[in-house]
Amino acid sequence: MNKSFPLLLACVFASSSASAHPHVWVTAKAQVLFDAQGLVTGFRHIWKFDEAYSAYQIQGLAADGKIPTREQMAPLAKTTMATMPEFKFFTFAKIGVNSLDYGPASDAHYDVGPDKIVTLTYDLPLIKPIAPKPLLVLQVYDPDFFVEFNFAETDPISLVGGSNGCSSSANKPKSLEIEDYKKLSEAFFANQSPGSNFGLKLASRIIIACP
Amino acid sequence: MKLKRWIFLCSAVTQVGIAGAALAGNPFSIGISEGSGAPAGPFGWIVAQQIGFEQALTKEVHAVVASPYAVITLASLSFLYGVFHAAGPGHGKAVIASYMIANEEALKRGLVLSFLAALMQGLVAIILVGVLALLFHATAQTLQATAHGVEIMAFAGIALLGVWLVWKKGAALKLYLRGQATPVALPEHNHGHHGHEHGVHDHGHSVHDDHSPQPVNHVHDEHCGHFHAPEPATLGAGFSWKHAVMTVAAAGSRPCSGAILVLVFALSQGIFWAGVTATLAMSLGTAITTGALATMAVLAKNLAVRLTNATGARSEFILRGVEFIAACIVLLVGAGLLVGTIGAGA
Repeated sequence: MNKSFPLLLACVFASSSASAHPHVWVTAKAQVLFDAQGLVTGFRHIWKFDEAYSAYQIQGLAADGKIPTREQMAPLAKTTMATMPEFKFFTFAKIGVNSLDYGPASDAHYDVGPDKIVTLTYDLPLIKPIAPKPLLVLQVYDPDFFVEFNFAETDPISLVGGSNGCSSSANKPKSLEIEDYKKLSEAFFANQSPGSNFGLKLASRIIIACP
Repeated sequence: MKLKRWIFLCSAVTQVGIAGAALAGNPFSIGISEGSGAPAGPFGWIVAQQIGFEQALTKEVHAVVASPYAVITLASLSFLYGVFHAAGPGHGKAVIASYMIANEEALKRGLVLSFLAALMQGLVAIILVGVLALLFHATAQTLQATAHGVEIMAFAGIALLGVWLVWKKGAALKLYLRGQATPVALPEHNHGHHGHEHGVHDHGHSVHDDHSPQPVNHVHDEHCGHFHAPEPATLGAGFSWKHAVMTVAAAGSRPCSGAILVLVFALSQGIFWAGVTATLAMSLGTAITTGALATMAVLAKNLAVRLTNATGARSEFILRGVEFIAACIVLLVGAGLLVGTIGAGA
């Protein structure tokens, strides 16, 4: 019967450590950057935030209903980008089974639209340009699920530069089903460490295929 | 039995380690480290409930701009959000529940503590956004840094509460164990604390006369209060405001991201009052979930004590042991969160 205590405490504990839910929503667009030789050199991310988080970002900068300028948003952009490497820029790119490494991001800036919606744009160069063969798979997600990333409905992906007949497609994730929860639940009770693939589960897959 | 307890303790420590390590500062954090990791099991379902909620709240704030009466819908939604959200990370549940297990708190008190902690959580968010954003037009970075500072203080508070509980409960456990190992020492101690009870009841003398393996068969006498606890007055049934305030402060001073976002968004729409209403409704919802958990904790503990009533010595050992473990957990949660948060930076 003293079993009930560890169980209860484990439950209490689990509830404080194993559950997160998004507070920030991002509608993402990605540009795949090609060089003249048809190698992928990196990505340009364009992330549009939800209304509430946008309001939070421009808080104190939008006096009298003015739209904050890119310059006014620059300090915030700097703060954001400082912790981005630790989170791998929420960018997960693979060719086959090999994960691609990327270098320091550049040209990061926040723009505020007339609707006061905030957009973050930045470039993420690959350490080494690479031919996207046979397939380049790009996913953008937060494993912690604090931010929920969704690719835009229209033009989620564009190929920039010498893409030489490459094509792109965006595969939407299937919505979560009861089975998923069951699986996650089993994993959870089996080893108390559910892993961090929930964000991945909900992530769209961008696929770049080249001839 | 002992082994199981150690295994559990170890797994608890490991979990704190994982939680601490995972609490790195998300680039889009608003200063509060939301518990990270994948939502799983029943929590997965809870997450699914919330995904819709938070965006519905934003829509409802817009509706209030159009018609103030929409605040009723906003408050109702916020209340439900509080109920579901409190089942997620933070919100002092672990603290309240562990505190309830570590102490002989009555059910009613647990509910009051839960309610006050939840209310405090809402008020901290309201004051934070009200003072910084409304009065001083602070930017997101200032809000984030301040929220982070408040959070560190809250975690330090939990750790301090843990240290205090471990100290008290450790002393009680040690005293009990010493009494078990050398029964001769027990009467000496007992005389100091409840000598009068020995005069009234016979059971105390069994300790003097008989050094059998069950010298503590008197422990369940209801007049005995807290048995071998060092200070029966502190650990006993007497309600202590000091302890209650400590617990409420430790469990409730960390605001939640959802409340801060709704407040800032309402402020941006020129209806801060709607954000305040929403936050208070959220607190009420949070109180219900936290209260339910505190109730569970107390009932489970009472049930366990009742079930072991047959073998007195073992029952007290379990009681003392469980209280001590619960105290350790409060300390570990506090220390783990504190280290993880400071390590992650603002």
